[in-house]
Amino acid sequence: MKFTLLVLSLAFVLSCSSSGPDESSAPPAESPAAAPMAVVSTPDSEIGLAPGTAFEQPPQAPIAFNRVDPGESELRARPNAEFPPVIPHSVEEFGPITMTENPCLDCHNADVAEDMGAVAVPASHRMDLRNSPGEYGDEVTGARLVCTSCHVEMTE
Amino acid sequence: MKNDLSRRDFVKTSVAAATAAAVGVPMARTGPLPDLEKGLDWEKSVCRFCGVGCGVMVGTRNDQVIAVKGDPENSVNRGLLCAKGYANASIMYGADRLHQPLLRMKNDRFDKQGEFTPVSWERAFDEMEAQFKRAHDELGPTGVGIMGSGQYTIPEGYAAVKIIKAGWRSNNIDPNARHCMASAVAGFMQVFGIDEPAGCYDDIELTDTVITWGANMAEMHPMLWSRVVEHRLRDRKSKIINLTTFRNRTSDAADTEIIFKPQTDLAIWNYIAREIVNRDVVDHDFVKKHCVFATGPTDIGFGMRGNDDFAYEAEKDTQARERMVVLTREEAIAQGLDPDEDRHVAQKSTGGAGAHWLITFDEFKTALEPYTLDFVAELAKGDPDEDLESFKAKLKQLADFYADPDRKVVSFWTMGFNQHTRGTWVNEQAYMVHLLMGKQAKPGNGAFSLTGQPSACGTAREVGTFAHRLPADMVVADPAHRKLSEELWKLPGRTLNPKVGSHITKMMRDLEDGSMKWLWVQVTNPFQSTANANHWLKAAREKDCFIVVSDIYPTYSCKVADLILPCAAHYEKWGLYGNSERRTQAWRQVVNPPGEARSDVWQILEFSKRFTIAEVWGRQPVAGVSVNGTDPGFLPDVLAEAVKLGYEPDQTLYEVLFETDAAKTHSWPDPVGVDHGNCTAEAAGIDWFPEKALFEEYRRFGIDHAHDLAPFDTYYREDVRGLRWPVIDGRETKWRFNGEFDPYVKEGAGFEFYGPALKAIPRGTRSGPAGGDKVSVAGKAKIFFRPYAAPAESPDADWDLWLCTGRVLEHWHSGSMTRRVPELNSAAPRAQVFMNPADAAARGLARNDVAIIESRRGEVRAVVETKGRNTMPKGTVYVPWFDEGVPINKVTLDATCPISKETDFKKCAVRVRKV
Repeated sequence: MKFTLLVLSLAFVLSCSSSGPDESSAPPAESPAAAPMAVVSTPDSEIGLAPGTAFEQPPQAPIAFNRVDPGESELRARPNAEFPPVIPHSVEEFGPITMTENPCLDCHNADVAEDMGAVAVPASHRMDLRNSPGEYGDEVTGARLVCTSCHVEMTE
Repeated sequence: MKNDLSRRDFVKTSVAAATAAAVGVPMARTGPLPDLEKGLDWEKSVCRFCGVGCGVMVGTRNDQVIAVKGDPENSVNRGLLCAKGYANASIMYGADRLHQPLLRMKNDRFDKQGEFTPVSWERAFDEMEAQFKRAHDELGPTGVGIMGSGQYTIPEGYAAVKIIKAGWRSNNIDPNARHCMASAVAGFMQVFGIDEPAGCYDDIELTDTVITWGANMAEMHPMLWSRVVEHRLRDRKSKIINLTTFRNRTSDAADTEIIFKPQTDLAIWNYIAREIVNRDVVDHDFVKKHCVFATGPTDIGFGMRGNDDFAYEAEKDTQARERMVVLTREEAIAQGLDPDEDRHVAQKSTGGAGAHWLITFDEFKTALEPYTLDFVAELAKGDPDEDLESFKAKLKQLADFYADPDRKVVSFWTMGFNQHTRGTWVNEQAYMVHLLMGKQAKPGNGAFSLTGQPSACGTAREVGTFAHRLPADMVVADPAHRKLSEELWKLPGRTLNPKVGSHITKMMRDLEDGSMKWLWVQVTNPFQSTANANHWLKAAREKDCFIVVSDIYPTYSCKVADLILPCAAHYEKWGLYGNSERRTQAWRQVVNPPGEARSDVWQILEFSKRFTIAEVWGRQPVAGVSVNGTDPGFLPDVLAEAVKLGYEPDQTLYEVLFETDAAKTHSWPDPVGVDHGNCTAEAAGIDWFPEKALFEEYRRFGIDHAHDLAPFDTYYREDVRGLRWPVIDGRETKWRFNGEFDPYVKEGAGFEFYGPALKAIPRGTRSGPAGGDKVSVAGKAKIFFRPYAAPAESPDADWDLWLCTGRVLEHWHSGSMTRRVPELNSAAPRAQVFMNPADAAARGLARNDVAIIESRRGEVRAVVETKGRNTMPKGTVYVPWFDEGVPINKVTLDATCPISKETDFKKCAVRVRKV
């Protein structure tokens, strides 16, 4: 039983190139991870996330910033249902989230989201689990205000 | 391709799923649930990443981790996680996960120039053993070492300490936490005589003011920041001030941002203290009862090598400041000297940097005199484009908040203070201000050192995985501490080595100069994380040394290793961590490790079988050691006494240190682990429970020594989400040193700073200690005067920019785990050099151009970022260190706080140019 599990785990790990079982159809974002470790000898220049030995300068390329505007983007795959939806559009045009301004909510707040064609912030974000669990407030609670703590912006 | 769920379904699903997770709220589910929610085994666990120590729920199915979410029952984070927290479900599934030991070989033999070849564990340990004994035979205990970690579980760290100190009698064990928290620890020990914060996270909801110093809490402790923001919005009186050397996400939500020049935090604290004293708002009652005033030497150098034998030509001028410093005019004024006199100061106290002595309040007051608003503002203003008067107004407001007796204040700091060539000083200064105002060890009122790593507190500091340490704050240099440890460990007397070993940066220097020839790296990536890395990379590859790296992925350090060992990842083993608020938390193994990956505990136990006590407990050379009854320069032979204790010379360290009678009383299987595996016990083929045995033995060190931990099983109870030590009669302690909350405080004392260390000190004046007996300051905390001192290396005509390094939210440390999660990797695919747009333009650089960042010590290339999460003032650049393709520590300087030995990763001089 244990052996079978072991083989299954091995097979699973060796075959999986992304972040685990993937239930959605969209391909996951690229990871720089190399292919699974070979079973023959491998030089140190071919292990890890950067090519070359520790004495070589890996090539650098510009970052492919996301140029897709809000409203033009499609939902992206997530590794599992708990993972906060990633931000599939550019946020470059927006100012920062401050105590008084939250540009994300300008489109995503539940009262305007449908009109704006945006995914609505779920009701869970209006619940303060620390101070009043079980109650829904009118607004996104402070603990959830900094969207970018959980929702990360994708590059291309 | 579209996600199958429509947006409407997605929203409904999220609501249902999230509310189902909320505490005690049964909800009828509406809408289709993703299949994955069904059929998962969920249980409580702990996040792998930062020092916040969020509680998580791990969902598994068929021996795979499917999802991780926040634990609503855990008061640290109440069901929320940052992006990395959710990624805990993915971090062990990267494509190049290590499954087998890999040894450099050519022609079927170990060869340092060979390629990594899969070998069996047996073969791996054979080589490790042979190489160890070669180094040990030649150099003795100081020729071998372990680089450990603030990400070790408690059992791992304890096993490592035992094998190296009790077994090999070497003190060359030091964690990456040295790079992270050492200055904080030194600050605690100097001021309080005992480690770790007085307060707890509850302070966030109880305070009026959160002041962050050199701590980008929004990105680096996101779930604590979430609590700060929640409280700030609920309590309009409360305020947030962010002190930083560049604008960051913490600034975005703060009421006030203060941009200061690197290292002038030292001056700003003194300005605040001067205001408090001059306004006469000192809490004299508190200070008189509970505090004393102290100071120490200033000619303490910068923790660099004492000679330039190994320095590159270009770095010799910086290196020379270790021996001789020419004070700037500002430094002279700040230190109470005449700036027109000769300002050459020989650095004579590099060896005794931590020494300190009592001064009077009047001397303290006089020392603060130079730190007027005008002087400090001029010195400290960090943004050349900011108006000086506006900067002064902010400093004044800062002082007003601290100096208002009715305003509760919590000061938070992390790496900006700790990774600092006067890191111990600036930590002491935070306590200075809070103690002057009596704003310490009280709910909502206190200086709170935030910890970076998940178990720098719980493991590295509490267990003592340091070159100078034993468990529970004890030190190798103290005979009483060694005696207690020898008794608890059932060792012959004089087994333990009293001479402090090499801290982590020194271990790198030891590799370079041939003093150390065998190194085991565990749960850390030191060849990516240690400053001035070109030296150490070269040493690893070219010197006659053998380097073993135990990790779950092939990291940058693996590139320069000789042997790579595959490890069990976080949820693939049993473990406990201790977070920043002294909360020890536990998790069970929920999935099996892949391939031949094994837990670190198994590796230590297995390797310990390769040594008999005859091989390691005979006479051993340790240069400079002096033990009663033995020739100087040697540890005594303790075998005769071992025999008296009932040991046999051919017994292995495994039998003597690990598979003891006491250990075997903790059997495996154990009711606490019903339905769970234990990869350590299974791989070892034993019927006892190593993680529990190690924890229960370790626990004994702290009981009745103000470090009390609960029994192992308590942490696994369903109704427990960690406990803040000291845990007395099952009750945790929220505020230490406060008689209302801390059972260790004497009845009726009110407050008692009962930490035992460094509480006998001489009297003196600002100029130095006086003769005479030491004075006992038991029960008191020390208010230190520390002057402003300039950094080890500042920008000049050739190297005209400050380089600061740090992290970003999406990546943990060296990126070895998070960069293998596609979502996190896409969010921050490569390290960029954050630059002020005008600085970039002046160098012909546009956003996304590739630039060279170089210093006296080395160079890297990175793309330029002039926007985004950080806004740099002119004159400063920032490069995060998560990217092994941008190994920025080739550029940084290995100057440290001379007291704590922690590297200053925040300041060195670079230039940036177009490729």
